[in-house]
Amino acid sequence: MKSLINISSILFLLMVSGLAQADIKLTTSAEIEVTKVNQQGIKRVKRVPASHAVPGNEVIYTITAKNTGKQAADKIVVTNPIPQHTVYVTGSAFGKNTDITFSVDSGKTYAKANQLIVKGQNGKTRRASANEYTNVRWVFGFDLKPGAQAQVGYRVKVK
Amino acid sequence: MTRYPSCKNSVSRGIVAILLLLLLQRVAQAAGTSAGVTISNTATVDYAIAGVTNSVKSNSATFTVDEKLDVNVVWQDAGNVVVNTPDSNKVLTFLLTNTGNGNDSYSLNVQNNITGDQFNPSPVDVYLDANGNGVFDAGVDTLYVAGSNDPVLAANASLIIFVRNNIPSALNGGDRGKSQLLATSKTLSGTPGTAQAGAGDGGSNAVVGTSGGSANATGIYQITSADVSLVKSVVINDPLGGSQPMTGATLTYTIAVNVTGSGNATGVVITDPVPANTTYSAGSLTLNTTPLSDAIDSDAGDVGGTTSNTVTVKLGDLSPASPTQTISFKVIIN
Repeated sequence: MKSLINISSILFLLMVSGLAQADIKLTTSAEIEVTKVNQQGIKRVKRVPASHAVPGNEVIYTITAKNTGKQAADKIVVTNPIPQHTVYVTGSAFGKNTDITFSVDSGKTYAKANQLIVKGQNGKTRRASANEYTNVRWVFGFDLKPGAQAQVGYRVKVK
Repeated sequence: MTRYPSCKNSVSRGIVAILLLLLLQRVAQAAGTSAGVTISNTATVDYAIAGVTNSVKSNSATFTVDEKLDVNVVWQDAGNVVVNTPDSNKVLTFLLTNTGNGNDSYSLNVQNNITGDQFNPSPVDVYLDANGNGVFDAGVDTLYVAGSNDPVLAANASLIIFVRNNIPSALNGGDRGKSQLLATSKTLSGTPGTAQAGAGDGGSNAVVGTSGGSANATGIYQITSADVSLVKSVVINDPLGGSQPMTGATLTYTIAVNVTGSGNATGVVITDPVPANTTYSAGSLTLNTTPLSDAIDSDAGDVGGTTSNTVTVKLGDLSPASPTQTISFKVIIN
C-alpha cells in the first residue's frame, strides 16, 4: 500500500512538471543597498541579497525573464503584486522597451502613473499616490528569442 | 499566558478583543512592520509561443523584517519644577516610548552631573507609573529596581517614569538643577546598524536603530524665588467737587499686589497704616472690589483690629499665575 502511494505520487509529480515545463523562466530577486567604507575612506554602495530588512529600508526587486525554449516568445507581459508591508518607491520602476503601468485595484485595471485615479475620503477623485499602488505591469515591446533574457524591476520601502 | 480581567458575558469579551485588536493595529502602523514578519514576492509572466499562450510564476523572493531597536524619552513637566532649599523626594515626570517595531526592555539610569545648571539634585529613586494616570502616587506606583523589573514595552507602547531627587540646602532663589533619565535597550544598543542575529522578535535579527537603542531627557528643578510687588495709588475727591487735598477731602487708596518669579509667595499679608492727619472711612475696605468688614473675622481684612489704626489684608499663598490682588480703602483729611 505504502509503495503504491509513493509510485502514484511520483507519477503525479512527473505529470505536473511535464505540464508546467516553461519556455520562459522567471526569476525574482530582492536586494538591498549597503554602503561600505574602504580603508581609504571611500564610500561604495554595494547591492547584497535581501534576507533581512528593517522598516524604512529600500528593497530592489529585479525580475529576470529568460527564454529557455527553442522558439521565440512574444506578447510578453510581466505582472507583480507589490508585496504586503511595502510601499512602491515613486519613479523606481524600470524595464527597457517596456510599457510600465500600475494598478490601484489589485490588478483589475492598469494605467500610467500620472493617469491613476482614486476616490478620496471626501468622495472626490484624485491622483493616486505611490503608497496606493497594488501592482506593477510591464508589457514588453519586443520578443524574446531563444536564449535571450530581459530584466525589469522596481524598488519598495519596507513599511 | 496573559490573563485579562474576567468578563461577565461574551459581548464584553468581544469588546475587549476588539479594543485589543485596535490597540495592536495602531501599534503596528505607527512603529512600522512588526519584527519577525516575512515579506514574500512572486512575479508572473504571460507570453505566447507560436500563438500558444502560457503563464509562469517566478520563485518567491523572501526576506524577514528585523527588529529595529529604537527608544525615546521626553520630559513631561509643563515647566521647571519649583522646589525649596533643601527639599526632599521631588518628582520629575518622563515619558518612555518604544519607537522600534518589536518588544523591548529597558534599563533606566539617572544622571545629575550635567552642565548648564547651578546645582546637582541628588537621586533618590525611580518609579514606574503602575496605574497609568501620569501622576506619581505614593504607595501605588512601582519602585524601579534595575535588573529586576526593567520595563518591557511593545512596539510604540509608552510608560510614564517618575524620577525623585533631593534638593541640597543653602541654594539661591532661581537656581536651577538638572536631572537626566537615560533609557537603554537591554537587547542591543550602540552604533546604529549594529546587528545581533536571532536577538529580535520571532527569531529575527535585532538591529540598532537611529536612536542608538538608547535615549535620554533632562528635567529641571528651580529653587523658588517669588517676588511680591506693591503699587499704591491715590485719588482725591474734595468737598467742592475738585481734587484738592483740603480738609474734608476723601482719599481713595488702591494697592495692587503682584507676584513675579517662580514658585509661591506663601502667607502674604499686606499692612498699611492710616496716614497721619486722616481718619479711616468706616466700611470702605475692599479686596478685588468685594467689601471686607473692618472687624477681625472670617474675611481676609480688618482695620485697626490686628494693628491699631492700620489696614491689614491677608492674601494667603500667591503665585506668578495668580491674578493681581487689588486692595482699596478710603480716608478723610482731618
